[in-house]
Amino acid sequence: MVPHVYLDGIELDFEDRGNRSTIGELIEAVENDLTGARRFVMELWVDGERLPEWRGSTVLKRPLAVYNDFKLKTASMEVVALEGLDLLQEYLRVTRDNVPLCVSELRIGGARADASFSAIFDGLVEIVKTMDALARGGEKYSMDLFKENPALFYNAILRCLEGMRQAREGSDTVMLADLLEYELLPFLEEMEERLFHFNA
Amino acid sequence: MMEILMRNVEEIGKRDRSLAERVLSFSGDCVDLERAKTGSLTFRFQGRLFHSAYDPAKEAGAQANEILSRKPDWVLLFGLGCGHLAAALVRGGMKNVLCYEPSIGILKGVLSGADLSAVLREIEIFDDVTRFISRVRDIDAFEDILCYSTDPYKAAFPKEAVDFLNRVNNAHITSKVCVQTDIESREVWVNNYFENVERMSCCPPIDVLKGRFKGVPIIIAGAGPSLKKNAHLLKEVKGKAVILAAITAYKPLLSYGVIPDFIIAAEKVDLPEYFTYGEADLSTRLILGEVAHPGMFGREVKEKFVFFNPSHALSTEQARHWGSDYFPAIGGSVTTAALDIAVMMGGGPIIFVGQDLCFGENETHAPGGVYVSQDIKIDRDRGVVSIEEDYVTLKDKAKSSHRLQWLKGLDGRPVASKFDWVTFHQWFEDYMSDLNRRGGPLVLNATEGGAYIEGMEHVTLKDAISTCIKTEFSIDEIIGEAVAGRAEPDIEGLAKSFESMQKGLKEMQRSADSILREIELVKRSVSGNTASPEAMKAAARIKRLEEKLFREAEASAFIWETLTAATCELKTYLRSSEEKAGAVLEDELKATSTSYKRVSEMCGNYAQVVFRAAARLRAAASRSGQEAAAL
Repeated sequence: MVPHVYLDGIELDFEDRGNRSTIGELIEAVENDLTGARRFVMELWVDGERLPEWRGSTVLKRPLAVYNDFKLKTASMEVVALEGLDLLQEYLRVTRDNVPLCVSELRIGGARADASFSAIFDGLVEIVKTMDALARGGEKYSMDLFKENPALFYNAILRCLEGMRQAREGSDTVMLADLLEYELLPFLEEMEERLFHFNA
Repeated sequence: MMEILMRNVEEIGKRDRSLAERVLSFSGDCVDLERAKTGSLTFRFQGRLFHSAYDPAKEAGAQANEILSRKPDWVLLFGLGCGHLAAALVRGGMKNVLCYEPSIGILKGVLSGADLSAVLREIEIFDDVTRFISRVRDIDAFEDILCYSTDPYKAAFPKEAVDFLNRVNNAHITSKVCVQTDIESREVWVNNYFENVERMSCCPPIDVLKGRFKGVPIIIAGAGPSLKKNAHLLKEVKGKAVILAAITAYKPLLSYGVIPDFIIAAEKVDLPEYFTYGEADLSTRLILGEVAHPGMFGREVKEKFVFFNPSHALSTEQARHWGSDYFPAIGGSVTTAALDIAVMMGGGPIIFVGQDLCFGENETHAPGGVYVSQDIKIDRDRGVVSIEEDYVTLKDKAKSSHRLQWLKGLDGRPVASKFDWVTFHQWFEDYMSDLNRRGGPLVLNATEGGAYIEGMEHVTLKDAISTCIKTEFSIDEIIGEAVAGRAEPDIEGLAKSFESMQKGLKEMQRSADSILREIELVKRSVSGNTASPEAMKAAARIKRLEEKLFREAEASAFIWETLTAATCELKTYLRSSEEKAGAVLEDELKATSTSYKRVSEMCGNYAQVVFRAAARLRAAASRSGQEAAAL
C-alpha cells in the first residue's frame, strides 16, 4: 500500500521504495526540500491523528507502509524560532521557580526535596537542549536569536550539574541547597538577563 | 577563645555542673569553626559542612519556621551544631527546647568559638542520652513533643539518631501510659489501701529485712519466654541464693521444681489463678504492695511482707505508723521493685532471669503459667503486634493489639517489644546508671534472650551460678530473726491519722459545695463571654474558696489521687479550649462545675471510708489485745 503524503494540504508525490522508508526519512526529505524556503515541519498527523511527540525517535523509526496518510504542517523558521525562545524562557522560569521550593525542602529535611530536585535537574537538561537547538538553527538560518552566545553558559551549567550530582550522591543536603540557592539561582537570573533580546 | 568557652561553660554549669566539667576536661579532637559568607559560624565534621557556607542564620530561620508552624509544646533537638537553630527557635518564642549533642568534640569545638551563653540560658543541653531521656520523662504527658535533627547530624550519626528517636518516642509513650494507668488505677489503689489496713497490721514491712542478706546472691525471676531455657538450673541454687520471683513466674518455676523463697505482687486486681492452694504456697512468702488487691492479702502462704509505694500519698503519710521508712524505687513492674528491694536487703550479686522485656518466638511469657496458649503476630509495616491467647480462667480467647516498639537485643539487633516492657527497660537502665554510680552491688542479667539492659553485666545463668553461688545458708533463720525484732505498727497513730483525714475531707466537701453554689450564681449572670459585676464578685469568692479547699486538702493529699481522672479530663478540656479562638465562658463554667461536683462526691465518699477504716483498725487492735491478755 502506498501512503498519501500531504504538505500544508497539498498532496506530494512520494515514493516509498520497497516499502522500507520510515517516518524519519519522510520528514528529512521534506525538510531538505523546505530549507530554501526557510520553513520547518511543525505538526504531523497520521491517519487523522495528531502525534504530539513525533520528533521522538520511536515515532521517527516507524515504517511508513503501515499507515494510510500523513499530513505535515509547516511554519516559517521565524515562527519556529520564536516558539523555541518562548519554550526556553518557560523552562527557565519554571526551573527558577522550582529552586526556592527545593531549597526550602532541603533546608528543613522535607520529604519533597527529591522530587523537586529532579524537576530542576530535568529542567536544566531541557534548557541546554533547547538552547543548543536554537543556537544551531539560528546559525544555519543566519538569525540573531540571542543577545549573547549561549555556548558561553554551557560550561557553567555543566559545572553546576556536576556539583549538584556530587552533593546529592554524598547526601550532602546543606551543600546541595547552597549550590541551588547561591549559585544556580543567581546564574539562571543572569542567563535570562544576558541571553534574551526581550522577554516572551 | 578561652574566654568564650568559659562564658558558655559557666552558663551550662548553672544547670548541669557535671556537663560543664566534662566539656572543660575533654581533651580529644574538636571541630574547627569556619566563617560562612555572612560571617556566621559553621564547621566541618567527617568532611561535611553542618551549616550553610553562605548564610547559616537564614538556613536556621527556615528550619525554625517549619518547626514552629507545627506548634509543638517542646522541641527536642538532636544536635546543637553552632546553635543557630536553637537561637532561631528561642527568637521565635519557643520556651521549651531540649538539645542532645551526640559528639563532645563538636560540643567543645562550638563552645570554644561561638558565644552561645544567651541561648544556653534558654535551652537545656545534654551530652548523655540516658539523662536526656530521663528529662524527657519529666515532660507532661499531655504536651506535644517534636524531635528535630538537621540532615548533617542524621548523616553523621545515623544509629544514634534512630536510637534517639526511638527512646524519645518510648519515653513519651511511657508518660502517656503512666497517666492512663493513673486514671484507671488511682482510685482502686486508694480503695485497696483502706481495705488492706486490717491485714497489713499482721504483715511486717519489707524493710525488716534491710541489710539481712549482705553479700548473699539474690536471683530475681521474671516470667519472660527465655525462662524456659535456664529455669531448671535454679533448682541447684536453692538454699545457696535467695530466689525472688515475680508472681507471673511462680507457676512456671514450680513446673521446673523450683519453689521461690519470695513472690512479689502488687496488682490492683485479684490473681487467684496464680496460686496452687497446696504445699508450694505454704512454702513460700509473699511480698505485697500496700495497694495490692485485698484478695492477695488473704492468700495462705508461709509469710507475708508489705512494701509501701513512694508515689502514693497515703503510703508516704502513714508508712511510719506501719513501722516502715523504706519506699522502693519502682519502675512499673514488680521485678523493678524487686531489684530495689534486693539492693535494700544487701544482696550481691543480684541476678536476673526471665527478664526478656520483648516478645518470644510466639509467646509473651514462659510456659507453665496462666497462658494456656498464645499466638503472636508482628506486623512490622503497620507497627502493630496482635496477641491472641487462651488465659487459664477465660472461656474465650482473649485478643489484644499493641503498638510495636523496639529495643536493642542481647546481640545488638532490635527486638520487638511493647510500651509496658519498654517502660520497665528504661527504668532499669536509669536505675542501673544510678546504682553503678553509687557503687552498688553487681547486677547480672542472666536472661538468655530478649533485650540488652545497659548497666547490667550479661552472662549465662550457668556461668553466674558457677562463679557467684557457692555457700549454703538458712534463709528461714535470717528471716525469723529479722521478723522477731520488728517494731509493732502504731495502730493508735494510724487511727488518729484517719480521723484527721476524715475531718479534712468534710471541710473540703463543704468548700467544694460552696464553690458549686457560687458557680451557679456566676452562670445566671453571664451571657456569652460577658460577665456582670455580680459575676465578677462571685468569681473572686470562688478563688478564695479554692485557696481554702487546697489548704484543707493538704491533710488528705490522697484525695487528689482519687480525682486523677477528673483532673486529667479538666486538663484536656483546658488544652483544647486554649486552641479554640474564643473559649466560651459558659463552657468553662460547666467544666469547672463538673470538676467540683466530683470533688464534693469524692470527699463525701472517702470521709466515710476513712472513718470505717479507723474503726476497723481500732477493733482489730482491741481483739488482738484481748487475745494477748487471754494468752
